[in-house]
Amino acid sequence: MLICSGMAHAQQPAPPGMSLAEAASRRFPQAVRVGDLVQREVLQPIESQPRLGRVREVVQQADGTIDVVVEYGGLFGLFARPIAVPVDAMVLLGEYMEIVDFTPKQLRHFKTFDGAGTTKLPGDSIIRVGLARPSH
Amino acid sequence: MKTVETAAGTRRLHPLPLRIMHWLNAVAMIVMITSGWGIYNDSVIIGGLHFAHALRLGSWAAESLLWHLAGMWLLMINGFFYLLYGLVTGRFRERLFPIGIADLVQTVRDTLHLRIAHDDLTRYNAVQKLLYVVVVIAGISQVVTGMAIWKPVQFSGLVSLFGGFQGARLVHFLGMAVIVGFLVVHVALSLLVPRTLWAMLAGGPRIPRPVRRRRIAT
Amino acid sequence: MKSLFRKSLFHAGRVPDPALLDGHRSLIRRIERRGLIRGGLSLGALTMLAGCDVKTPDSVEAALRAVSAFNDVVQALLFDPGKLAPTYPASMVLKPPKFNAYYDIMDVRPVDGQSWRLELSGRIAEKTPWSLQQIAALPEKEEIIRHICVEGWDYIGQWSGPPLGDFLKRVGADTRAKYVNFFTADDYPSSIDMATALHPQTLLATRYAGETLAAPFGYPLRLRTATKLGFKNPKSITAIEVTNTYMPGYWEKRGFNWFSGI
Repeated sequence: MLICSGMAHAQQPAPPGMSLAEAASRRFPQAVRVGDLVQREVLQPIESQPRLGRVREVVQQADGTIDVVVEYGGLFGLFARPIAVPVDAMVLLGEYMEIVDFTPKQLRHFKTFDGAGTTKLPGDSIIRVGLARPSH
Repeated sequence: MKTVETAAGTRRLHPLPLRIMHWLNAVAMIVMITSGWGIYNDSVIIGGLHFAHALRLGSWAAESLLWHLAGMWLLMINGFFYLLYGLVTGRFRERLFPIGIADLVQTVRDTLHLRIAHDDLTRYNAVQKLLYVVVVIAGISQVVTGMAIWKPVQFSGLVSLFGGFQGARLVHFLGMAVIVGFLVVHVALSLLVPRTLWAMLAGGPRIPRPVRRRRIAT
Repeated sequence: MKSLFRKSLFHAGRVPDPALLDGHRSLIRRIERRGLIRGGLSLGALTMLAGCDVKTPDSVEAALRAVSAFNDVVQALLFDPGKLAPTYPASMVLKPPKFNAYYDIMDVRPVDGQSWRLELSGRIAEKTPWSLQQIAALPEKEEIIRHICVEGWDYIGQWSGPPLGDFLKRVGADTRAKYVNFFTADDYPSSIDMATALHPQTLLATRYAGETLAAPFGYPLRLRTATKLGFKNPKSITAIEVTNTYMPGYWEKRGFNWFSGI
């Protein structure tokens, strides 16, 4: 770890050949209130911690999978657009969330979230989200 | 008669103790700023902003912290004697005050017209005075916020003064920005007018000693 | 080759993976190109990347180490055993807490609470190991305090468990000894001064926000002191030693300051 300290790179993406869900299950998912996730800042897991966006809401797809709707991109919150990121691709980093399994380049190609076919989870529902340690 | 008067009645523009303190402070500031950048990187304050390896003192946070918490002693002890010297000898009063608003406006106007008047090294213009006062205050603020960050429980009163631990970190960061901004201007001007740089090394021209009131009475 | 294993303040005591070196050739070249203008200081960056034995000059390293030891003394003087850290309302508690360790989250090795025992050694009269049930029967204290990491981040956490000072007195520890050392399931030795160990806000925490600690946060038992930086709070403790012999912890061996009081 020390050898890597000081290097800017993502540390917790799913290892090659492992599904998002399986990787997420190895990140010791913790119970968290949906209401406590809303409005959290979303960071990129590299040393300079660029801000990717902010959590708008959490939704459930028809197949049961959970997505976090992130107001992505823009400048100082302006011109951001919502995208749905699988919760299994995200982690909790203290009071922040991080997207560990998609690069900003990939996220730019996510389609704008329109809510179709999804159910918004109420604030007091509990979901499980994996953990990460700070990236540096 | 005249020579006797000169020998007794003049001194260097920058007396030796002041020059020593100036250069010690320069070393301390550079150590504190560059090691501070290494510490900053582990938890950035402005998302996306971090300092390149080449700019940091210390190859990683622990080493930067060692430098920072060693450099603080030089900064604090030297800074304490600098303040004491400036107050006791009257140098601050003599050289930095008063700062006239009209002077300030005039100097800014001159500077914008690229007239950087530095003919007389022995007198600071209003902008110089203001910059020196601001950087001294920033230096004191860095020590106070530094104490709050170093000992947020023992000095919890200080922390609340800055609106919490992250508030103290932010003010500490902004203080650094002010000092770095000062350094850029300060170093650039001293290079533009190299006589000022030489004066801080060799002492500069001889100037009359400030006349004491006691002498006026006699 | 032997020098690679030498413990130094400024580099990890690990042999670099050759692949790692390959992966950073361009960076290493960049550092070389700079002509090492920053002397030993830039060499450190290369050291951290590759784990090679290129380091800060010994004299500089020794001087920095000496000042850090001096800072330990100053901090012990600044530490007021009666001064309580600020506490906060439950509404400010971050749930779950923030994870940090010297290893990745996927490398957390959960501890089996049934077979877990807390061993005691050194200047302690009653050295019988403790089970989790016995620990759970002790009087507890809860505190909502700020966790401050040496990296600069912080959060407010709600920890509960028996106060360490009460526990030490119960097992007949020599509270005039200098140090309390901790050994952990995640191979993270740590040591604190006795004054901090006896501070009323120093707990052997077993729960967070009322729930049993999760594995990444130090199940079944961890130290939680309100007057030290986060890294001075070892997780998944398996043994406590009371001693007069100084033992640097995991991070202290790598250059962080030992006392690290806040």
